Amino acid sequence: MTTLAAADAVARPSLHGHLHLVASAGSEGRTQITRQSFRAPFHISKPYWDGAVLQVQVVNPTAGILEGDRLELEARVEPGAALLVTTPAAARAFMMRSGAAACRQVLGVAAGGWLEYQPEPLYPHRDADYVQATRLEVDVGGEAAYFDALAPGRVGRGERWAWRRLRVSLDVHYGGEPVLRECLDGDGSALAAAAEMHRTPDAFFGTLVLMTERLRADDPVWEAVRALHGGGRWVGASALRRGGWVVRVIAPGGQALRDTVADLRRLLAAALPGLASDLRKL
Amino acid sequence: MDADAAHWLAGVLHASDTFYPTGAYAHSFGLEGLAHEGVVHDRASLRLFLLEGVLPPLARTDLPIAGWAWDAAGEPPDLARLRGLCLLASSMRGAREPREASEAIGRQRLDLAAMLHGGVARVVNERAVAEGWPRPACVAAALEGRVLGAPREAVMVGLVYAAVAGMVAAAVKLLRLGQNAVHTLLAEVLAATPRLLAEAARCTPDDLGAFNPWWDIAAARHERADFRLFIS
Repeated sequence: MTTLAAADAVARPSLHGHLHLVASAGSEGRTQITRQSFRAPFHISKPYWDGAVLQVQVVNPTAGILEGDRLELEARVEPGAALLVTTPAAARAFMMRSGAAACRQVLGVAAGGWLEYQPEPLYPHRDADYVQATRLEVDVGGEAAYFDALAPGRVGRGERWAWRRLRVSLDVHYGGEPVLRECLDGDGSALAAAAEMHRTPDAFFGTLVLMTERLRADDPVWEAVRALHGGGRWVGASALRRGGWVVRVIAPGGQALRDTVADLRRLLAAALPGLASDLRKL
Repeated sequence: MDADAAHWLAGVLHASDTFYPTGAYAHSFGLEGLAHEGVVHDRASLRLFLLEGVLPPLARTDLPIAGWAWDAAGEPPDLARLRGLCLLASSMRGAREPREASEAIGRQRLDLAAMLHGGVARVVNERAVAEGWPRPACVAAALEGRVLGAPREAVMVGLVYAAVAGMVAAAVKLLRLGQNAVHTLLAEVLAATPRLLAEAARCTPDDLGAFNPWWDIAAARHERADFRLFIS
């Protein structure tokens, strides 16, 4: 069944939009946006300084991602600046009859900067064909918390792993060297089989890449993070070759994933105060 | 068979033998973590894991990297390219233990190749040691193949065998499996090798990488397991 929103959205022409942001340290220790440029479907909320980070909410006023869309997001955090980028709602990649949609994201953090990128999950619909390539570049001495989340589909409608093609890649560089490269690529059948094999048929996936040199391997926070594992939830944390950590979450539903991410942010905020910011929805 | 082929084949067999001291026997490459989680618990679940979990990522990770490293190890070797491939291969294992397992085996393998055969293996190894590059197993195997005169496909076949046989050898210690069960499984899984090599040949830099969060989490949790047989 096609939703009204999706049916409306399918009728609109494809969009080639971009969002470019530069956050810099301003007066009195506040961060400010010193360069911004955007074009539909991107729109941003009025930036809000919460005392620790500058919150920017990226809004897509259309129903979601449609065939032919070309999206580009670039955000750069300068020395001494602290930026939190969120989205107010899930990203939906709709059914695409023949073509595909693509999104390229480049996030950069200079030494002394802090970036948290915390979007809502991606929901690929039946027959979606979507390519998303993300590159996170952190200079030595910069810090970042990059989060991404993937839903198996519209589980409430009984639609799981039904996309035609999804390619979601992530490259993380620290000090100019690659420290993490991963790529999910294919239709939903391989993940469906893997989810079944691991007895997590409605798996929602979350990946948190924490780039910081403040957290040591023996920090007690890791035991608390590992203790989140169980009860149908998979959680693991491991050190990258240099510069940071990767935390994986597999949750048995969207709310369970949201709760786990909230737990992770609360636990890690003691070492990384930027994570104490309330992900308020403007 | 000509003398050159006999030479490299003997060298590849030598390097693939369990007698060759790479330390691979001490690793399960995440399998023990999945056994702890109850996911891999018998021959059927091991078969599914090998066919669906282990083989497909090889064509998007170690095999294309090894092919490109073999290309870069010609005369003269492209050291900047080889360094980049070492870093890239290392970055494709997000969990620490499997990454360090690959680097430990690769380091040992390259040290041996440099000592036994010299040539490009020695040149690259000396540079890698001096500059602190990681030496992942797939790049080490490519350099070893180059110095032996083995074609790139032989290097890639060797990597498939090492990945599957290493996992199955670990499974024998973790699960209740008989020799016949193990070797019929090994033969079935290795039959996919030509298809994997063809997929690897089509792989571009944009295609690189894998996504198996269950395996990553099991490997990450293995780091702090209360008991374990294997380093990884």
